[in-house]
Amino acid sequence: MRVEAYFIPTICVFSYLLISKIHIYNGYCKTARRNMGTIAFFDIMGSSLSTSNERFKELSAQSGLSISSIKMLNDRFLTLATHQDKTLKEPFMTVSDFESIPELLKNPLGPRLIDAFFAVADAEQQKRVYFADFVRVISHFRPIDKNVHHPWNSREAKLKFAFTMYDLNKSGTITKDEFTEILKKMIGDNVSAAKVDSIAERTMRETDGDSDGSITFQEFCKAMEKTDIEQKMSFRFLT
Amino acid sequence: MDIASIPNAIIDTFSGETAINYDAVSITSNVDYLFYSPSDMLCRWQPRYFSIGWIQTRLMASQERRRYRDLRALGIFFFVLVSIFGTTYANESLTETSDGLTSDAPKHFTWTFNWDHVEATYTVTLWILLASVAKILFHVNKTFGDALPDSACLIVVGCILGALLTYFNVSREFFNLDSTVFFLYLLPPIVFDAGYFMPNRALFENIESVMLFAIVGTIFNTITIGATLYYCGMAGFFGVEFNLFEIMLFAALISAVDPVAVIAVFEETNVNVNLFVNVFGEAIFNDGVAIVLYTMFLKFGQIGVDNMHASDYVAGGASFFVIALGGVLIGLVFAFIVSFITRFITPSTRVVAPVFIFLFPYLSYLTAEACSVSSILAIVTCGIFMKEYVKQNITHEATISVKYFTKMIAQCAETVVFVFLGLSTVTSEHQWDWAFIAITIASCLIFRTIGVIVQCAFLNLFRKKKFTAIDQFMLAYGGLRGAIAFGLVVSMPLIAAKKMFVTTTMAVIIFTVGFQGTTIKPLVKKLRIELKNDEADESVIEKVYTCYFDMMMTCIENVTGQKGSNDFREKYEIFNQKVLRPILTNHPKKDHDPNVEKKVSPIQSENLIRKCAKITLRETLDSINIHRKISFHKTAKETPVATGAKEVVRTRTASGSEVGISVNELENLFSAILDKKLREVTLAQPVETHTDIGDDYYNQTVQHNQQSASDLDLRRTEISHDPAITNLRRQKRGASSPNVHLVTGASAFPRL
Repeated sequence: MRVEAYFIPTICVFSYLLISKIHIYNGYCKTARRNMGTIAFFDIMGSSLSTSNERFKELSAQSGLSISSIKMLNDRFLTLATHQDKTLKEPFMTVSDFESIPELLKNPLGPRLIDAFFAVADAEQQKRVYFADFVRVISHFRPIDKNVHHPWNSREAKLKFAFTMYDLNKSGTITKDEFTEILKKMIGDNVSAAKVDSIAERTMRETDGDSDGSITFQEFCKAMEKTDIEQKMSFRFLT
Repeated sequence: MDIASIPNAIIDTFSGETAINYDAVSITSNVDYLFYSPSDMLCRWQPRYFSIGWIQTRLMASQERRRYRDLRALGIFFFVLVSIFGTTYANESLTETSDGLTSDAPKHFTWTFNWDHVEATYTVTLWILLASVAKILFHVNKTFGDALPDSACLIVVGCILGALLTYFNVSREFFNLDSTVFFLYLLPPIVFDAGYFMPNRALFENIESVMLFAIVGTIFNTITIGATLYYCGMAGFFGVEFNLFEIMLFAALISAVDPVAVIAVFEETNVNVNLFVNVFGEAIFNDGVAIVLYTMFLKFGQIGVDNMHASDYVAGGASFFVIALGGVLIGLVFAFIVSFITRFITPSTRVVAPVFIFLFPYLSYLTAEACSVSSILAIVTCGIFMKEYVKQNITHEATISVKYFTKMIAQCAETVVFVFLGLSTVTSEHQWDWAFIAITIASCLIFRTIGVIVQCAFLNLFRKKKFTAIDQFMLAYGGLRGAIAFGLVVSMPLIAAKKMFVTTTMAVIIFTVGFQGTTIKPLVKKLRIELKNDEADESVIEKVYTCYFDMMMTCIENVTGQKGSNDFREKYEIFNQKVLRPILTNHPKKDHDPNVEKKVSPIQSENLIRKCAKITLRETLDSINIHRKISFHKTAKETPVATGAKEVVRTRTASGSEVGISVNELENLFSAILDKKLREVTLAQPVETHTDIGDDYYNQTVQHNQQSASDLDLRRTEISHDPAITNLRRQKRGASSPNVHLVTGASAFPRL
């Protein structure tokens, strides 16, 4: 092969890599444009930049996330939240906002996660997620810093969040039916019901120490003690 | 019914239409079982914590004595073999080969020794056998066998053999390892084994660090080591002169971490998977870089210092992409071809399947060699990508046989390589230059450490699971050089310094494999490095929750709008499911509503089910082994070869409270599974049972007839179509032990 022939494959490879990244850049541009729009809108509504900075600092102290992470989450929140509370002048997200994220619905655990957001947020039946609640849920997924201990982001808090995603009626235990339902959603429709049932039964048998037919939080923690939860349930872009 | 076939029956029952037909031996045995005598196996199963009577102590002592007698016999046999070997070759080279054609025909039948006829194959086979027998002998003494890695021992054996053979004045040509033989025949099995058994998920999670170490690390090492040696050479420390390109050539081949050595040493140390995959992945992927650098400096050397243009340098740099990506591309193409072809394998043609699985990756290796791209990358990529689809397409027994055959051939090749390394150490002409060797080894160690520290500091900015100081130490220390460096140095063009280079390479290899390889195990223990999480301990719930966590993380990534690794993986899985798997696997189409969108890639669910079945099987076998121990304890006076049925009955009647629980558990397991299966079978459609290859030709034909006959009986009763029952019926006809109680139907299981 001639020497120059080496260049052609190289150029092909690089151009492919570049083109595949363009759609990501496009996405970022769109969100940036939308952000500019919404921020301009809120500026007219009266919230200024300085108070939002203070809010960020407060949230950062509360959740343990860094200010840059909170800013990033804020940008994302503002793109997603299409409603606004008139009295408080606070944007919030509803179920439809969550469902507008396309990939979320394809994921079998998507609806459960949406419910988990609302379960954390809600005292009343309003089905609203404000930014503070949004941050609170996401802060569970920060990588654990061994030096700084934070109540929202310990191993136990992570496990508790995982547990509540299963146990939506907040009964404190996971029954076999709840577990089977989740398992069915995860495994898909290709597997016969009997198999799913046998796996569920097997799992219950393994975890349920006192054999009362349901898994409590302690039993769950014990079953997970060998798993590296701190690493599995954390994102590196959340600092 | 032989007790070992119970698991087959259970798993058939449990798994239903995914014919997961585990062979009891294949799950519980490690390869070492093959080498120990039956008396030794007995010895191991004797439970020490039970109260052992006087007779047992006498029995055990005699068994242990028998064991040492056996092994001593083996050692003597080995020695005899070596001496025969040596004298044969000695005679061969001393005397002239006899002329086959004699003028006068022999008057009567004479016994002749036709050595020429079988010389080549005899040599090869004998080498492999010798090396393998030597390996057994190392493990005679447990402490000695564990302390030294096998590769170091084999090098020592090679040295001893070399000494012996030079003493007998055997000519050099019998044991010269040709570089072609090494790169074409010995290296591919080893690397294929590496690629096929690569932990895929760990590799792709650590892909950035692996690539960084492989590319940047190797280049850094080459440049620094080369520069050091060049300037020291200029300063006149060394005896022989060399120019810049020659020394860079040497630096290129000595700085690459060797996959053969890494496998050989790390396999025994059982470090955690992330650390292993970093060193191992680096060893594999730096082949691309090493080849580029080697050929680049070779060409530069041929062109000569004065005739170099700038474009030559640039072409060298660009050729890296071509070589690396070309290798990967060839591997992918062949993986695609193999998966596609195995899709069409039917039960009647299933014996052909392993042929494809071995020959296509080998073909990818050779194709890559022909195209002058990285052949190691090709075969490794082929192994990684075809595994998933091929496992779907071929029967389970074929998968197991592929697994064992791969391991076997890789072991053979590895042993031969190390023995030859030792041999060449003793028999080649050396040019010892202490300064050169010392400076090379020192610079290898120092620059590797510096490289690892700098790269890890850079990587830790981006990684979730950071490299601790101890991890970094292991990474630096695990950079072993091995046979590939030796192959490359021997195939170097003849220059003035070549002998010195060869000697130095050998010294470096022996130092790394011998010293570093030996000390790595105690260091792992001392530094309390996280060991491999034994998969047997992982419970089903952990696997279920791993799957669950992955999905949760993907969700959160979608919510926060960040594209993380989970997202990529999910996208790949979707692509896999929608595009690749329909083409490459004959995944049976279940009739489901086409409007319902498949939300989860089936591979996750199948993995889950397969793991679940595996764990059930393991537990069942464990409870059976407890049975066996106890029954051996009770029936120590009788011959160990008892039939399963008798054992079960006797232990139950003679049992005390110790065994009560396990038998109950076992029995509950049986009845629960069988009941469930019956329910399922009566509701569902009949499934196709599939027969394994019989133990001898008679059984094979009989089974075939049985299969077609039983197909006719099926229509009558659905229960008789239960795979467990057909299996048992099959076993009855093919059973070897005479006292077999046929068990049919759920009610036939004896209840307490």
